[in-house]
Amino acid sequence: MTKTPVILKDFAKGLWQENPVFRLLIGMCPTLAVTSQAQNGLAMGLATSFTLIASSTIVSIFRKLIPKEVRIPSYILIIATFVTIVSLYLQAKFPDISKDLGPYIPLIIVNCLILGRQEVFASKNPTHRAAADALGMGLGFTISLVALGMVRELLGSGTIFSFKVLGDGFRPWIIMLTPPGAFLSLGLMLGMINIIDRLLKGKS
Amino acid sequence: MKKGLKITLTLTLIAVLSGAILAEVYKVTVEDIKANQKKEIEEAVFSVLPGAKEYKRETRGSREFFKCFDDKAELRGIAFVAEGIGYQDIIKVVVGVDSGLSKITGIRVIAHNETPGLGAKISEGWFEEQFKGLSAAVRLDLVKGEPDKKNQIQAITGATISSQALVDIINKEIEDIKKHKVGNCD
Repeated sequence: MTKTPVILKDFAKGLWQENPVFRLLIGMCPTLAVTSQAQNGLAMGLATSFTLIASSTIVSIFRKLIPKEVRIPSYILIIATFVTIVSLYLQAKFPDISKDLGPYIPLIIVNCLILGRQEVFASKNPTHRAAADALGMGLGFTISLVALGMVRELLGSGTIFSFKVLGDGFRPWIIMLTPPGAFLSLGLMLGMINIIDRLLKGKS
Repeated sequence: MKKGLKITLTLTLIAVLSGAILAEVYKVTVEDIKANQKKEIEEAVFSVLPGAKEYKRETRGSREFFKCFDDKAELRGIAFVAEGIGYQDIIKVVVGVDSGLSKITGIRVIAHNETPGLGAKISEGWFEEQFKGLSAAVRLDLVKGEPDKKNQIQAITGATISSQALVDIINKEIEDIKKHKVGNCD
């Protein structure tokens, strides 16, 4: 009776309250770099989620065996292993996505979202909670990247997931596909989410 | 001392396990990865030389190229990988020319790192289609807007640099392939 709510809370906080992109502002490098298309945002989100869930689970299982002095190198080794698995898998099964994401797949290793969750959560909590936390954080990260990718793709190319949404009369806002466009859309979405959050809190 | 030993053992153990796991994953995926790479070149070669059914890899000096034959084993043309600097990274493009090296039969961009949504459009079909059937005897020109002369390529809106880079690469590499006399004209 007491256990279920804790796991649910661990899971749910990554979706809104502690959403990695819009609330904690971590993992910004891939967030800004790959979201010019919704599909790439989704692929990056899923690749990061897999790495996060696998690493958190392993780190949590062995948390009492890893000496404090070398915890960071240990985490990095574990994370790098899973990232390499993702990278090989994408190259084998989804060569197009692998080509689109290019260097950003290996760079998941240094995504501070993953290392951060190991340090503040997985290394201090039992495995089921660490897994729930990783699942929530991964899902929150994925949703945020897809949302950002949809906005940028819609305004920058007139499409969403490569389906034409806006008619021929629409002139694409090319800036949305470039790095400045990434900052602009992220900033505006952050503002909107802060407003929504304030309204929600005001009600309750 | 005991601490040092524990640290060393932990890191060694993790590294060994990680290496073993990755070796296994590599073994499972390596076939697919190699097949993907081969398929990519193959598809590109066949798409730039319509009618080609078979190809033979050959080299002359440092130049590598593919001799393409149709189903009657007659030479249809030459395909080769051209590469050069794009807007931010190397662009690789497979170019097909007829056996007399006089006409471009098609191009296919196989690797680039241009800006997604802008320069990346160089690998889209409508842009590649423009090169089909153009003369390989004179240089190609890039224009903004509708082409009004022969051998002109329309630049991608907002990505003139990437478009220009691709045109330059193709011009330069066609010159090079002619120097190596790989076709029937030697």
